Amino acid sequence: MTQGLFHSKILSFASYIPENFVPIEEFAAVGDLPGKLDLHRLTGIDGHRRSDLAEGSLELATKAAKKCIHRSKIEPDKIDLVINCAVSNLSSSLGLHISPSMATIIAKELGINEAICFDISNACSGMITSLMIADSMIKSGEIETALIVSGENITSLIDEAKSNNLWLKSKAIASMTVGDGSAAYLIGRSEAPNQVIFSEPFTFAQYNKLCIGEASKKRAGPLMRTKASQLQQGVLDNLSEFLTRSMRRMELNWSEINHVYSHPTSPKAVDKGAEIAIAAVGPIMQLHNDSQDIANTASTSHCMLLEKSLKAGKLNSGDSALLISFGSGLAMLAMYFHMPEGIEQW
Amino acid sequence: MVVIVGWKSSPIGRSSLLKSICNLSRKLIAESSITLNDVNLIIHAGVYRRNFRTEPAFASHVQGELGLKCKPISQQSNHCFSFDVSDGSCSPYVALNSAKHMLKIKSGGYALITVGDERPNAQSKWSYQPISCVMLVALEGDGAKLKSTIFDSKLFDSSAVVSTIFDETKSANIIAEHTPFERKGTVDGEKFIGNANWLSGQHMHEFLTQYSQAMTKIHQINDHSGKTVTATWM
Repeated sequence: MTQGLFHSKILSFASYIPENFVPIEEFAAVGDLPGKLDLHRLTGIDGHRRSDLAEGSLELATKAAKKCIHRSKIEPDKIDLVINCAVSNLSSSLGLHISPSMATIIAKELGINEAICFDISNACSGMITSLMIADSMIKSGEIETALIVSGENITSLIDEAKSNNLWLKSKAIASMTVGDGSAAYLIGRSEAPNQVIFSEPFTFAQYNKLCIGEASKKRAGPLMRTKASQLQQGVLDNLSEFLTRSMRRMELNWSEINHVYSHPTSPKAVDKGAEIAIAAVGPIMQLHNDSQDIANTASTSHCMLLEKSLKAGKLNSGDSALLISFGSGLAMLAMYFHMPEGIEQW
Repeated sequence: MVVIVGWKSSPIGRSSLLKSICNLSRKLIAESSITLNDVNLIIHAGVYRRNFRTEPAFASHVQGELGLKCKPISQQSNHCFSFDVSDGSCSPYVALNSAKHMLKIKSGGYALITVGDERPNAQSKWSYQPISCVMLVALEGDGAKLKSTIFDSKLFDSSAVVSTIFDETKSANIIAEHTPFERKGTVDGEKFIGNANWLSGQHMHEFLTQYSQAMTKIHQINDHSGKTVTATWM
């Protein structure tokens, strides 16, 4: 573990889960897909959330960030660093934000005027990558408080996929498993040590061509092309060693971790990963595999699940949690943390 | 403190950004005292990618193209971590600061910082002639030592934000019209100030060339949006 001058902790987190639930029958019914593919049966996804017409990545991110700041009771002007880690960075009209950092725009919206602002791009692992850098900056004494935020406006990928002949472009089918949402974490100084611990981060670049996101060549917004089964196999092939090695490096006892959240490419994929995890490091105290109604929300996914757990009354002050992150590239890393004090009152 | 133990730069010309960056990286490592296996971290800093690619991180493509530690994990295996950072033309200093922290986590090795941009597509207006710049960075050693960086957003002008728009006539996503922040490059005493119309790679190329000739130790980048970063080197 990296030791610094100071300790850190998660001060608060928040997700904005759009209310508009779109059932899978409305966008990927059996018969819509090649070979009568049953996407619900294949993935366990019931549907996704879709943002309002006026909501782009900025608006989504700002909603989560405001909620997160409110929960922490931190004044915006006390925030020293803002990192945006969204994959999409799309306006409501599907314009891609390019420069300067989206974090700069988000900070301005929130009235955070003095913070360092930049973006990190590491696909679905961008959130944990950003938290890792912010954590190191806090532990070194460089900053005291950081806001890590993301708004994923990605359900246009479904429309793009459906505009193709999916018999010919089967790599577009994974686009059907995404959902909109946003997430924010505030991380700051702590009196107590070991409130936030990271695994060693890995990029297995031999898998770097299995999921590509870029601009659509014939319509507004992005496209995504994924060799989903090969990418999933890349994760599963490395998961056992990753978890064993991470527990040792993080000096954690797997059986004592209260809550485990894995990046939900789909509920069925998480089930497969859980079988490997149980065989490698033992039974899981509580696996939160309930993304069936929000789908895969990219960099925001862990926090979306945390928000669901919170609403269900499953989280208590001081509980421990492990967030296991996978992102195209293939990035693999994990973050362990303790639930903030007073979370029951959120 | 991070140290640039070696660097190389070159115009991209007709090459792709990936080829340009990887060719420079191979040459840089060949001329250094380290091997490719000593690189534990790749951070790419840039704004424009081919066809506005958003995932995976460009750095993972660099890692893959270099064939760096592309192997399954074991309990003792040594691996690399790769990701991108971005904040307009100030991106190189975001990468250098990120490397300072990530090298503590991926300890005992070097970071390869790659800086560069390429024309996203033929349909977008593009007035740049981008330069790729690669830097080998460590927490100690001989070379340019980054003492401090100050990021400043006071002059940030939201009308200068760059985004894409869908052009129906071209049937393509293109760079939308925007109002660039005008400021010419200059030398102000000991301070080297880059031209606001340069891209990240050129900013680092021009400064490191001046630094190598002992002409300056202070580098200011003015992004086209009005954001600035001022770095002091030793």
